[in-house]
Amino acid sequence: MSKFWTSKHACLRFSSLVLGFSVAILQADTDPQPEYSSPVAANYPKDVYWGDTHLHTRNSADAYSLGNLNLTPTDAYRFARGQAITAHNGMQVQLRRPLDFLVVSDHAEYLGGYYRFDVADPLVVETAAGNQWKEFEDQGDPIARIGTFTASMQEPEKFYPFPEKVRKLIWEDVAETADDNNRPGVFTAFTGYEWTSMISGNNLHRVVLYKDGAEKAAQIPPFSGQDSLDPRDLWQALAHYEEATGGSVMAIAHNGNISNGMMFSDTSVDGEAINADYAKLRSRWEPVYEVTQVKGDGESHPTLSPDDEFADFENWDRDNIGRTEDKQDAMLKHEYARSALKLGLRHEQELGVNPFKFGLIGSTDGHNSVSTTEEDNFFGKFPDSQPGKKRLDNQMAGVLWQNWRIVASGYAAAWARENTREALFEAFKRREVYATTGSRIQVRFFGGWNYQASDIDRPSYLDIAYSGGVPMGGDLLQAPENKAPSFMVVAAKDPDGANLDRVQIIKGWLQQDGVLREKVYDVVWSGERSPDPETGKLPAVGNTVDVETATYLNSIGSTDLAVVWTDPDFDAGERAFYYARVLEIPKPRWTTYDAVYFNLELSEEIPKVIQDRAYTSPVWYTP
Amino acid sequence: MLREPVIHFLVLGSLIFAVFHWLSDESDASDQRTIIVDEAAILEFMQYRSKFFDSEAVRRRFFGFSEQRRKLIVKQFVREEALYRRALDYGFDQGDYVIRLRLVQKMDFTAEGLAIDHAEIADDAVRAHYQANLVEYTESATISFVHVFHSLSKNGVSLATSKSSALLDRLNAQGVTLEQASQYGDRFPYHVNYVEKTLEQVTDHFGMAMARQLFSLPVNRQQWQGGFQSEHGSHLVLMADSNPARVPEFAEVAGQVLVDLRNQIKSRHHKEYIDEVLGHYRVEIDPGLLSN
Repeated sequence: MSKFWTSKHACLRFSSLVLGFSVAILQADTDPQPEYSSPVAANYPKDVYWGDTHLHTRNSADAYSLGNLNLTPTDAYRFARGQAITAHNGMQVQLRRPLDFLVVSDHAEYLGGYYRFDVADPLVVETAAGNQWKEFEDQGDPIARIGTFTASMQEPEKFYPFPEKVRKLIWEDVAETADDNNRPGVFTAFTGYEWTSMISGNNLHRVVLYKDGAEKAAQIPPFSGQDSLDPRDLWQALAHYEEATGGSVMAIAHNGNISNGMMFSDTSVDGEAINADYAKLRSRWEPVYEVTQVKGDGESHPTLSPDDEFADFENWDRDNIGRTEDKQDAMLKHEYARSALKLGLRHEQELGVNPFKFGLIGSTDGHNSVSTTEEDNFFGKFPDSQPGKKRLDNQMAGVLWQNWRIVASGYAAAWARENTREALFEAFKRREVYATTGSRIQVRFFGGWNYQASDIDRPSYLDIAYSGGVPMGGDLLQAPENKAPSFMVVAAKDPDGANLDRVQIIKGWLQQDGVLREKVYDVVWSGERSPDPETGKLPAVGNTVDVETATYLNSIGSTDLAVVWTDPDFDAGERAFYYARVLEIPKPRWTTYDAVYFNLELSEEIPKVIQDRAYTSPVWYTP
Repeated sequence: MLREPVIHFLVLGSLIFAVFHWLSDESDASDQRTIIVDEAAILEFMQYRSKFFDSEAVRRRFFGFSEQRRKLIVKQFVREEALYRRALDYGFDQGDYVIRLRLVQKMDFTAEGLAIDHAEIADDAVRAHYQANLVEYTESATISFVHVFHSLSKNGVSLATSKSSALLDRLNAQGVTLEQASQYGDRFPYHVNYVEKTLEQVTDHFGMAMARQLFSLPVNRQQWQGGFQSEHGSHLVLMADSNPARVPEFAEVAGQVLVDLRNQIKSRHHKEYIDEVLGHYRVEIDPGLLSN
């Protein structure tokens, strides 16, 4: 608690330091006119906070079944705060830089139950599910229990959920553990869980994130996939929670890429076309989307964006999460974030509300209680993909995807005023958050009508940016006559990472004729490169990676890139969104670090290098 | 010895079988509270743990390890064996290796449960824990400052430095304040003002050399200081505040101390319980296992 109070005091003590607005256009290095009165203290977010909103521990049925028998939520929070821990492969693991926040989001279905059953906790053993699991063991088939995690969602009348009382007691423990590990001002431990809906093998999972402490959060146990697989029922449960407790909560979907077209479908799960009610609820409860994580990157897909040479990035596009049905091209546009943002514009035109108006974050979805995103410090998804000689050859859970395909990704970055549950939750709500695929790339992104090209050179650009426009996640409305919107983007490399290759602005829009379009603009880049006059493509930045030693040099690329860019193709009558994508120079992929450390040959199909990147939340334009 | 499955005999071969058999007879006669740590036991332990059944290969691997590593394996074996035997004493069922692991896990849980039962904590104890662990609660030193930046990439080294030193006099002559800092110099890739940042955080954006310089600067809100060089360029700094590392008052951190103490007591009881179980057994280690 102390840090919280000292920070508060510091805010008061230090309020005079906070920068004032200075809307006046002043040349850098010239003398400013004295203000008539002191400038208003700028109240904008000054710091970016790094975290993971999606991490599992032994409390998750699948994590436990696949070997995370011992690492608890407390272990997860401690590791995130920078403490060393012994991973399941016996190695010591520690973060070079601690996280600022973490959501432990264990699966709601049988939350904590498998472990408690194994240790004969009467709370679980004496339930109907516990009896059933005991029967499996008596019949010599203890493995059958593992299947009840998913079976209980498909057939809860045959595979029994825990009773409310048991769920509530276990949930109290989860929420109180988060409270115990929360250090306002220093480290934010959020309470959360994952709603694990899967329909016909298609992933519809959502992480549920609470602003509240146990006092409110623990009052009502999680809404699980055993209660319903329909997202509308989840939203209703979230509304009920807020009404009953006065708390605040949101849902964050992920892995549209393994939903076989269901994540951003035109219909709700019962096959009915989505309507205004659906759109209103979805945008109300799901302000951000987890666009990148260990099971694939979901920003764009080369089939949907053939002109985007960077769209083919760590995509997982073979099938669905249940591996029950191969992917068809027609599914893709309902799976990837860029496409969903476009579809959202059309829904908004038709329904008056945009159901897919989400900001972008990344997270890990790790199941080992350790949140790792860096290529050179990546501890996999399950124990079977922790560092070891076998992880380049084996498959997740023995039968799922090859483990070399998993992605060392990603981060949720939040622009906030302070590191507290309240301030971070509000940043998520207003979508002033962004995703990276594992690096701490810093990026600001603003849209406005009057930004000047030279504004970017001003040390006071933030005053201009906030007072003359909106940050990522915001809306531009009512274009002034004959004006196109301008976007200010300021990116800096991960101080402990690779230089930057380029910044791109990605625009999606709905033409007057009803056709959805997209375009990727290179807006600022490193070095003396010019776009090819034939193709309009900027040449590649180069590659300094030495695969033999898993090293690279920052001898190419820039430490920072910034520009004010004005849309050259703007039509004031067309709905549009814009977001920035920041690319690093190539560096060794985690598989290359593994090959060097364990002295292994990398097979042809395994990528050797990676260009990690950041995706900002969009700014929307609505006529 | 009740724990050898058929595969065990197949892979270990007749010689080891004979040794094993002899040991089994021996153990019948000897104290049930003796844990014999010999080659056969260790090889079996290692094979099951790695799910790799080739006793000769495992034997070579074991003796190829450093003494330290062999000690660690022996220690792990003893711990597992002791908890396993205690679990049998409790009447838990006998079974295969999966059951054995389960039993050990149950013993751990039992220990955790016992620890929780003991976790009634008096206020005095919380205060004592705070006193005994002041280092844990010490807050890192922080500084707060604004800076005016001249970019290396934009100006080159000499111009960045000369612009910076020329501006220093002007900032001071004109009494430029904290609030006005962002009107001068070039855009910095990260932030203009830094509030209560630790050495690590300042190092992240300015490099170690400059961060150390800043932490040694006196606080002075009237006097710009510099220039300081980072990899990005030249910086003039107005040092607004500096907080040395401090130990908060007990009242400020009482809640956190209670949580920490509760965790500590839990893990202590847990360890005591395990130690008690271990202490119940006499452990005999074949010296050949650890000597080179």
